[in-house]
Amino acid sequence: MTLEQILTSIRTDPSLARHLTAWREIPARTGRFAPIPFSIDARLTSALRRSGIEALYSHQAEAFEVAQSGKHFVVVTPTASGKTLCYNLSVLNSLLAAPETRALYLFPTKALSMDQVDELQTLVRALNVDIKAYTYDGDTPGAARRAIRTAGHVVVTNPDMLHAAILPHHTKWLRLFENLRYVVVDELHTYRGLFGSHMGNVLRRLRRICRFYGSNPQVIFASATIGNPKELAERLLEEEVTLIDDNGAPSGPKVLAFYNPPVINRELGIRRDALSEAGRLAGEFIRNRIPLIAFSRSRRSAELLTTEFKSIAASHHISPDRVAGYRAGYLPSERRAIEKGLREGDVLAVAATNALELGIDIGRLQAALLVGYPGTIASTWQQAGRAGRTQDLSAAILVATSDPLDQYIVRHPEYFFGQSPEAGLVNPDNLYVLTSHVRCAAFELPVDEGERFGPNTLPEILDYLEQQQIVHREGDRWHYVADAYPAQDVSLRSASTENVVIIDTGDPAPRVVGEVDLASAPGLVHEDAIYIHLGQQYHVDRLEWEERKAYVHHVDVDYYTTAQIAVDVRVLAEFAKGEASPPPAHGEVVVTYRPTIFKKLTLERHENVGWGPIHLPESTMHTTAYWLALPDLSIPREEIQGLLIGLSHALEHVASLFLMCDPRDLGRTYEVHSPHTGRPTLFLYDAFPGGVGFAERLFRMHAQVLAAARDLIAACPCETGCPSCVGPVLQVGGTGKARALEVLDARLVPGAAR
Amino acid sequence: MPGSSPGLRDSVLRDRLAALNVVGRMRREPVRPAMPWDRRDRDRDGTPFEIRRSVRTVREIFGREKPHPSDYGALFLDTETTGLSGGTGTTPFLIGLATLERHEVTLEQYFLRRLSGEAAMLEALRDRLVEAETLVTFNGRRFDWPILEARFIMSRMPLDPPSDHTDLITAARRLWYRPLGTYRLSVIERQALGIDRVDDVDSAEIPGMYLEYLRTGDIGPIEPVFAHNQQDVTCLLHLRRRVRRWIEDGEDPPPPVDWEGLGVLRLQANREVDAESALRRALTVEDDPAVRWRIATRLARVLRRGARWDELLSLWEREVGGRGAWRVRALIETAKVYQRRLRRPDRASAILEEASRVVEWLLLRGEPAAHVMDGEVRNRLTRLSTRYSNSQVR
Repeated sequence: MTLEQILTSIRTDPSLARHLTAWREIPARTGRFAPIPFSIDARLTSALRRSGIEALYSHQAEAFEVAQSGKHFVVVTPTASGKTLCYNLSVLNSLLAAPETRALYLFPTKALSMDQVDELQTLVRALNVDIKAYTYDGDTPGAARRAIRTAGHVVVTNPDMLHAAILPHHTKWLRLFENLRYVVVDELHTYRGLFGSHMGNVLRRLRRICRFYGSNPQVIFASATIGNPKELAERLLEEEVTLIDDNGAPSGPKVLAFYNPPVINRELGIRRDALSEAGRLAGEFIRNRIPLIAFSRSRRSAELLTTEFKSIAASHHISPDRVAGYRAGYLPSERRAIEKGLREGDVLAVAATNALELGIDIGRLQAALLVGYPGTIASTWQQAGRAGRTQDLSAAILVATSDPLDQYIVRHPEYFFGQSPEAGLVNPDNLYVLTSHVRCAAFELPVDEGERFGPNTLPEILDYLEQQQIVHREGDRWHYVADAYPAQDVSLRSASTENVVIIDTGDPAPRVVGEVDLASAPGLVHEDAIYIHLGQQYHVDRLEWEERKAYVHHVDVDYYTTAQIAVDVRVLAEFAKGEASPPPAHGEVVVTYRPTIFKKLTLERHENVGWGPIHLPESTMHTTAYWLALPDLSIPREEIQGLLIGLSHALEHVASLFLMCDPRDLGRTYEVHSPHTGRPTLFLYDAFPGGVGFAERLFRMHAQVLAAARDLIAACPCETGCPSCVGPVLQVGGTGKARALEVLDARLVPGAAR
Repeated sequence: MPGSSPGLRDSVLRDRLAALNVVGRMRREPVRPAMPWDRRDRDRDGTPFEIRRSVRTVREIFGREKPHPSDYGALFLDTETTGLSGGTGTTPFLIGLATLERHEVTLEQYFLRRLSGEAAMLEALRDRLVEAETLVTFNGRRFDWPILEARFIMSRMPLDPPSDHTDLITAARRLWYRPLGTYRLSVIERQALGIDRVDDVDSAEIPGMYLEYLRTGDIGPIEPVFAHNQQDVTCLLHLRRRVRRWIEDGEDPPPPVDWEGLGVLRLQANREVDAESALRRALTVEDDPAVRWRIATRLARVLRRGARWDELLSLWEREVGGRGAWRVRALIETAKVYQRRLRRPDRASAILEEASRVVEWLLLRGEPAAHVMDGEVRNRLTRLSTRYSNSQVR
């Protein structure tokens, strides 16, 4: 069957069709073109013609024009719309005019950098001039580095290398910084949350170094779908940025459908498992050899899907080698092999996590399955966009889980299709992040009195660093004097730079199978956990916490494990509180994580078949939180806990929708009697040290969020609570759902009571 | 916290910084309180950097030995820095220099009393660098020179690289890495040069000592660093003179020394005769078959260049006494000498036959490289017989 026939059969098969809550056919778009501008170097024009480009898409021509005016700009158009030409044209044109010109390209990952250099080099070859474009990353051989530093016209790297290897050694990059004309920041949408907050500071440092060398580069941002490209770029750059978002590229027709698995237990609100439903749909595609990508939200789900896909393939006489998994924790070589397999068609189906979400070139897939709402509207469009980069028909199906957010989205498709994608929220002024980068900046150049670096808190931060004997003040300058390389201690991607290495102690010799970041380690590789890698199960025999090593051996069991982590929160400072009584508030808190127990759940039916304790040290994090104390209630004491669990469950999910953030960026906890408010209180906090501003925003839009939580709970078909609204009845008790509604109706949502 | 007074904000900010623990480690409490920056160095003349100069006689430094002629015109340099990791945040605060002229050795130390004196210090250093014919350092290519280069750029001062830079670590690595297990200057000084230092400071402590000086303005506690630096520079003088004599004048060093390394250094200096004697000496003491093989290969190259075929033959025949794969390799080399140099294909093929018997045994034992060797021996035998029969026909 062709894709078209498969789609028809899905729509007409009653057992499937009635669970489709949305079916949108997005028509093909015709392209809008503009002539190649006359002001472009004739050599470049003819090179473009030789590569088959006779005219530009309208947005490419617009980008060239804005670039000529010297303004910073941001290009936002979908995948495969010729975004890279938007900056390559201007960069190459400047290089042809003045060969000493330099450009710096920043991509969030190494794989993307390599893709880009290949593309740029193809164009340069067509030009037949001596323009050198190089990737500079951790894999660049030592001998090549010197040549790149002095002779590379276009240096392609990632923010981490810029932060840890280039800026701290800027004197070796004299030629680059003296002549830097363009800085390209592609995949802008990835620079949000903590990573974006770091990126803002890396850009501050970059431009500070440029000023020292007398250059003032023009910055070009490019991005996939995101709600606030201009605002985000301006927040990162702290200057005005011109927006180019009128896409002139054509695209093929596309179907985007929502599928909500049927309820199998109405009382408990239990729906059929999204993973098995996805397997069923995937069977149609795999059987008909339609290239397929499935995204799931956790590493574990990706592994389970991989196993499922392999068995589907086997039953249709397709080699299981044509099915692959793809997620963080795979070794880079494994990943490159899978990407290549996808591009060349050797791999037919891949089960991935969002590790594959970025613009890594994996060729032309026709179908995408999104198992579970990816968390944001933007990433939904991006994941769906992995299918159908060509002019042909493509399809993406979102299979909902029982998560409240999934349920809200598939039951309110008009919300999804009517809403603009999420805004990227960053806070480069986060004190933790800012201070880390002031330290790095001082290492790069002494800091002068009156210099600005972000907000006007520089003197206080320098005072603190002097106290810590990191900088030394002399007259109106602070000099770096510590015997340490500060960039080494600062990771742009996570709160900690540390990983736990997973070592297989089995035959024939011990080998490293992967690694997990320190924060996830207590939940994934505690002793007796089942760790899944490349579809293989491993039993964790020993976790050497101080050594950051987990020793595992290969097993074959019919269960997996899931860890429970107790969260405590303590208020340090209240920044603001609202009008209501008792008032909602936000402020600084310290959160303590204490892993407690793990459960063993069967692979088939997720039934609990055992548990064990986790012995690991607790960890703490300073961050910002929003909290909500409940008013005086005539509710029996024993029902308060269920009420708090239910309310916080619903609130957390609705909040991430309104905050337009990934649900994982928020944490939640509650206290039946909070020492701070003296009342039952629930807390939602930023899941990064220092916070990126979610708590404050939540505080400001608190009324809207509470109203939406009420809608979610009231509209849920379950009787006494389910994972889709207040959480399972086992957690919230028989009255949790009713009490939560009661509280929302009576006290928190003005006008909702009737 | 909009609306709060600046004073309050400052103290809240300070508390938050302390609570966030950004630096990630607790600093030990300073032993002594810091002096306000404008009151440090108060009893000094106020110059931001100072030069300490002392002149010794050549005899004081070298005893009865004579400096090498090329030591005149060389600038010996060693720096002490605020950190050991390199990068733009590492400042050299003490630069030790030594130069020779007639019967005198001039030792100079440029010391940064204040970080703001750096440009002046670099300018003074540049004058010395311009005069020098050669720069001599220990690990200077990787450490001292890149740091100085960075400092010049950051002070916006042009700097021409010295026309010649001898980094003694290259020779030190060759001469002592194997016998001493390290090429740290302090170990070499004691073990190989026989110089004992007294009351030396630990290099790892030096950055902290300088920071303490900056904070307090008290020069007393940092004095040992001056002595340390002067000893390092003096050690450079000794090291370079001895290394030159061993390499260029054919004098033999006292043990412990890596004779193979010495041979290589002499080869690089085009002292072939001395190199050969060092390599031969290396072979007499070497047990590790892989290293023996490497030494023999180097020696063979020397012998081939001199067309000394009989000596080449006896070199490889001696290595035939090795075990397993090493024996096979030596047999192949012996056969090559017979075939190509001595025109004795019959002997060559007899030796290859023997090699093939050893290979068979290695194959049985499952030796990893046995298949490769098997192929090579077979190929050689085939080629030999073809050529041999061809020449018969002719």
